[in-house]
Amino acid sequence: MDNIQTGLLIVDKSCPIPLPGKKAAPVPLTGVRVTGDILGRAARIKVSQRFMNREKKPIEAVYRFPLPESAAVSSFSARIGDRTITGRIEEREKAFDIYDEALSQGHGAFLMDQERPNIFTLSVGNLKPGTEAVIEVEYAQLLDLEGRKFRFSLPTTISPRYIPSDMAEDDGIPESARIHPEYAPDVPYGLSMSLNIHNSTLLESIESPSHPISFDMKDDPAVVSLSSESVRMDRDFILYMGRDKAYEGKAYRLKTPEGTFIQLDLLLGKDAIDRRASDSPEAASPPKEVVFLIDCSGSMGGDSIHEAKKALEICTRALEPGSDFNIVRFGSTFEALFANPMPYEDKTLGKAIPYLRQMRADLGGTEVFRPLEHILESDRGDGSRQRTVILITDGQVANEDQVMQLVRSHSSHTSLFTIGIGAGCNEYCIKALARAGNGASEFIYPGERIESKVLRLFQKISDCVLTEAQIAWPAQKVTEAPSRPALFLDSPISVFARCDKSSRGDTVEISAKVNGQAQRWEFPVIDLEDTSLPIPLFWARERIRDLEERGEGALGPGSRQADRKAKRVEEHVVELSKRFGLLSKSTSYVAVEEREEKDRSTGELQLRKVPVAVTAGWHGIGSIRGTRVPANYELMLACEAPDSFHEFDTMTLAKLSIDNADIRRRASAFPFRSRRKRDDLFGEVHIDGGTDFDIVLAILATQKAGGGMEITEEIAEQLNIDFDAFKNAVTNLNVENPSIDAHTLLSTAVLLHLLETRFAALSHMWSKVVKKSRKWLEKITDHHDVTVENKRLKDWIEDFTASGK
Amino acid sequence: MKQKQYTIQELSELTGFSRRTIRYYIQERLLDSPAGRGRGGFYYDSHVQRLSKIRELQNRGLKLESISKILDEVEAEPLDRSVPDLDIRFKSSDETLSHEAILSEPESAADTSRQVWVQYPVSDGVALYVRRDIDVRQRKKIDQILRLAGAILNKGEDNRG
Repeated sequence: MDNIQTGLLIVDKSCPIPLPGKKAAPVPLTGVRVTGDILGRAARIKVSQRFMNREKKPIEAVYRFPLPESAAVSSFSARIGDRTITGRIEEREKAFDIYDEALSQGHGAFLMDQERPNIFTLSVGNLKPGTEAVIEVEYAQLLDLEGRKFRFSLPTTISPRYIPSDMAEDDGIPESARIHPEYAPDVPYGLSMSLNIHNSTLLESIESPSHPISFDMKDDPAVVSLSSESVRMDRDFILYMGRDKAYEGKAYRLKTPEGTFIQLDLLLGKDAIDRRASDSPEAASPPKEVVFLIDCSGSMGGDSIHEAKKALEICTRALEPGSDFNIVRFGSTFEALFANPMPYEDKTLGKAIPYLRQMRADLGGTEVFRPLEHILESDRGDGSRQRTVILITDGQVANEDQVMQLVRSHSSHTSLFTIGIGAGCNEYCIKALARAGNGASEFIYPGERIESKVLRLFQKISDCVLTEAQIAWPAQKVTEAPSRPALFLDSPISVFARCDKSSRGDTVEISAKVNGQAQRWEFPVIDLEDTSLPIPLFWARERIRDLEERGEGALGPGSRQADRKAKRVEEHVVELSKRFGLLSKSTSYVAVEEREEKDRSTGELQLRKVPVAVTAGWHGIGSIRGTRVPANYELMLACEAPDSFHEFDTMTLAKLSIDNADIRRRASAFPFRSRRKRDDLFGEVHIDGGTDFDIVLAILATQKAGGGMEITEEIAEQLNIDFDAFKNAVTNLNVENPSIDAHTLLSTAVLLHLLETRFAALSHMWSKVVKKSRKWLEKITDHHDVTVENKRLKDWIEDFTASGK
Repeated sequence: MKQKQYTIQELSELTGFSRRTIRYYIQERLLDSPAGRGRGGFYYDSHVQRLSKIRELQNRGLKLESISKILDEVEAEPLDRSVPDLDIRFKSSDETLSHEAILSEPESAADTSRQVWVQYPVSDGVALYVRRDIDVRQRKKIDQILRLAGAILNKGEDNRG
């Protein structure tokens, strides 16, 4: 900025990032260290924040920081010299009063408030000149499972969030003052990390799409740390741990003085499903309406909108014929592709693809409430139609509660699925909205391959319809949490139960209807002797979440009955929070460092708000594409090759060398990208790279709305097919019905055959998407005889694909 | 007579604001710091009145940002009550020197038309009001007055002109 001599400087006062050059106050936070243990899906993490007062006067440091939204914060302590003071849980305002009173009397005091399930405020009060305080926050968390991989994520900064102008001020304090930290272009502290991963022999891979990491697999536990001693806190840390075997459903039981607790890790496998159920008419033609709602607000600029468009195109092409669809984009305002949802066909798809490719993050603030309300309250055909909304966003809003209430009030006929985009999206918003809408969520980090994630989510949307699900626990008097979770086939989820001590029985049973047919699953119960799995804590966290997210506002705000109910819910949350030592929005942790009379300082405290860095890629500031350098080169020797050579995916190349600069040089020199134009219905489609993954994607991208596919010269070349011979066969195709396009018919038949034979290993990617292609083909071949070069179609394909080029 | 003193706890109980909110208002300079040394100091009736005024404006549906502007404006109000009532909408401008206030007569007045006045702060506690539609030629003179007034009142400090 100082070097700029000429030009127009526009100062946007709504942008919370201060301009460089402004003299900043001293920053008392000197570093953040994260340590912890990961055992299976359970993680126990300790975050240590080191504060130092280098000034001449006593200070009060206030640091607003993020944690994962599912974190069960269960311990808070402060170390000053050789003293350790352990925090206790109190009601939020009472905790503040204790903190404030201690400071007024010249003692030291420490306070941790929860502003959102993923935003916390730490106050370090009365830190004397030259002294240091280390705050230790501990939490437990169950990791998400993506396919065979556990996903550990740790946010490091809070992106500025959009606050609607009509949002109420709680107790006279503006929302911004509760959730936004101070921002700075650069901060003088960084993050260091060291995680112990237990049972590491069961792991197949460890990788991080966000940071270079280093680890040693020789020992158990394996120790994973960041390659640099201290890294910038401007993006989430993400770690994937791939397991060597598929996930199995199980239940664990732990008896404690507080009661008996059961953790059910359930997986409703498709294998158990009666074939009749999956082939029933409901599965064949679900009358559906699918609306894509895309965040085009300024915060999506840069990396995020790019990823969102890719995700959207995949979803759009994978829609089923017979559905109605629409695309709505929003920011401060919103606009729709069609005035009302339109039938999904070639004509409408032909309008949708260019529309979404032209999208930009140019619509201002993240006003998600109004477009959602518009979609949810519009007519649904004859009223019986199920509606699915797919929201693609970074979730940078402050009115999560209001939006959640809206989604929940329509959840009987509309389900909401969310895709979180970016290096620092609001995980709470993305997950909470999916919970409210009986849907599911996925997260896409910049540079990650998004296709398999989006298709996995889409599978849940279009899969068999699961209704009337019930869990039969082996106990009486059960409090289940989360209550009534959304269940999907082949999708793991954990449900917890607190029950009385009579719990015996060695199975948990789940019954549900799949497309109207009754089904049943059983999970064995394992009795645990030790407390390495903190099930009571997980149960309490889920229970508090249930109460916070579902308990209030159900009767409409403002009514006396609603107020009374909200008060009862809050009392219940406070009670659980205190009993289990767990932080909530109604409670805070407080610790007082009592000082002798001579050590007390009652003078004015200098307030020092700790600034945080803005998320990389936010509003298009910076970009983290291209930094994907996993450090698992050692492990790569022993495990499967990754899916693709991707422009930003240097995973395989990492085998060659551990020097990142060298890897990048090699990656940029590697000629694996081909971009060739070809004529097709929707303009340019290109094949990124030459791996199986890329080829399958290219095949899927030729799908028309009805299901027919096209072999082009480029695809033929990739598949090693003789294109001239293929074209020749098209002219020799005999089908009774002349209105059928011979090229499309033969292309579809050949491509389906190749997917099933050559690309069977990637069936998770394509099986759902090509269902409509298969139906389209069967409709023709079931009613008409098709011959090619005087052979039956099936025989010709086998000969043709076997002969190769 | 000695002024009545309150602790923060008493102030909180009297006004219904939590201690957290009171501390926040002090931090944001909406409320004066307590008298005496540091955080444990005392509060006076003026603090109670100020908080009551904030509460009243909140009950009218105003956000803290607007309340803050209105309170600033009330404080800048000149002693001469011939200037129209200030308990009305206030608009800040980006000009370094001036604030722009939309002033209106009390509702009882027959003339409901609004006049726009520009407020020029001269020094702490002193301001000059000028109707915005004043002749352009007069403006230069007003500038001179402001410089001169600033020089006198600020005793030769940066004369803000």
